[in-house]
Amino acid sequence: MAYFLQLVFAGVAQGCIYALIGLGFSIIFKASQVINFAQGELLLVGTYVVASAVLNWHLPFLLALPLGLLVTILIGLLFERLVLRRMIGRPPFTVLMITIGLDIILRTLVVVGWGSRTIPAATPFTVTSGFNVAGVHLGSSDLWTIGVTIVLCAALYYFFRRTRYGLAMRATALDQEAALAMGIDVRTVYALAWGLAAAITTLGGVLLAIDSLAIDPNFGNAALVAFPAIILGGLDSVSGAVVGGVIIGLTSVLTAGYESRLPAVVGTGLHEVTPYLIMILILLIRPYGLFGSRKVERV
Amino acid sequence: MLVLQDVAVTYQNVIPALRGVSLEIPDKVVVALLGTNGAGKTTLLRAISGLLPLHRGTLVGGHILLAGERIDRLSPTRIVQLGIAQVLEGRRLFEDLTVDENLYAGAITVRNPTAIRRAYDRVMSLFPVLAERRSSRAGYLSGGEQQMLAIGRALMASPRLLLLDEPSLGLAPFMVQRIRSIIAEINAEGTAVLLVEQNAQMALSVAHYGYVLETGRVVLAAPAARLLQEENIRQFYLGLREGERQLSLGHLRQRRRAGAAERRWQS
Repeated sequence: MAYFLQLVFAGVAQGCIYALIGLGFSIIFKASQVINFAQGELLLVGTYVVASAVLNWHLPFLLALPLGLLVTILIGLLFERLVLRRMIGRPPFTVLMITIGLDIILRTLVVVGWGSRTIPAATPFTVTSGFNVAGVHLGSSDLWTIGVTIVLCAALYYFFRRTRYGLAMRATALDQEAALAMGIDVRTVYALAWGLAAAITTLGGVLLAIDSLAIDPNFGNAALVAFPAIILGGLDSVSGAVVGGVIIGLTSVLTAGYESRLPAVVGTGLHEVTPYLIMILILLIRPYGLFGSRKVERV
Repeated sequence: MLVLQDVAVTYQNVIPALRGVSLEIPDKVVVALLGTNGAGKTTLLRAISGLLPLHRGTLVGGHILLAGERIDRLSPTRIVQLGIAQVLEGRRLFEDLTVDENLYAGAITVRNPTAIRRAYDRVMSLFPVLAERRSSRAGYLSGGEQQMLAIGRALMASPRLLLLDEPSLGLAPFMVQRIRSIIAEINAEGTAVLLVEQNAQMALSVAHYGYVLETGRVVLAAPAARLLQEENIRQFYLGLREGERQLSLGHLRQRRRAGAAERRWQS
């Protein structure tokens, strides 16, 4: 039982990280109907900045983190300013292709700047920190991950439901031209979406790096792991990203924990497959995801 | 108040939509803009409200002046702030948002909370139906209620000039009459209205002045009462004579040109 609870705890923590990364995708998708393929590389740049701020410049973690967030937010805003602004009213597919380009540029910049070696990730915790409850070890980093995710979701909920800019973002997501006709500044909405998504994704990336202890230029692929989570939750749904993330996290950790008891034929890589199996299964039943709206555009 | 001088618009740099339109909307007046599909009515509204770039359209000639100031290079946000609000064709509500959220989205450019409050109360007294359905999703309203919400949403910015694009489209006759009286009521409170309509009868019965647009040009401009009497309008838009379905207003222009030629010969 303790083993099961331990796995559930780890799964929820893992799921929260997917949720954070997934939130980045769905915020941008909601605002502009674009899947941002550069999401993983934004996260990559962010974690590298945080890591080198701690390791090379000896900044405390709590200063390094905002620095990393700031850098990715700036990249997001710059991208909006230089590219997206000119793309208002163009087909989302065009912008989607441009994000693939941005992805390649950012990854190359990371290799140029930091080299392709693996470097240790920045972490404010020691591996063993945390405490035990009823035989379950609650690690500090996992507890923080869950806490940060909950606080962030509450803040986002408040932002989208109760503030002017939240309303402007939701309105723009539903009908861009009508939003423009209301005088909503669509450029500000895009900038906000990209800044917000960049910051949240980077936060997810830094937490993920704490778990995996080291990062290399392929670390951005982590964003792909969040992909089943958002497809599952519904691409255009913010709460769907969170629920999807937790489902995928639980599935993957629980299979990893129990797969050694399965017949040897199955092998030990099953936990990498189950998230996608769950995703395919749910898509068969609800093609637009658990919380997604039916009108999501297929690209 | 609003003046268009020789406004010419092309889409994607090649397709002409307006070929030199001049038009005037005085303070507190309802102006009807009539014309068939493709005449350029919606383009004219887009030119005023700054939505052309979204459709890859550009103003290639002329100016648009609001109270003497050029507004044709301003952003849609700025234009709304200066007091021009547009109701798009087909209502275009934010369907997943509630009635209230739709209304507050219409007031997004307004910073002053008491001004928002006042506009909200005005909309609620103008459309008591909406008051009952504040927190239901806009997408679940009936067609007529949706049109009222669309108008109410535009009024939340407390505009001096309201641009209405085909508000009677797809509505039952009694609802068309309801929309007509709402327009009259809004106008009575001091808001000027530019009304684009296919339903010429309704438009001319509420408007003070009317323009007829054909293939990007103004072919006729006269007080609404006179347009209602004009034989060609009656035939073409009101269908008040049987037979001769495909009648073009083009010959109106020719007739006028012929008239000018006659005068030239006379002098």
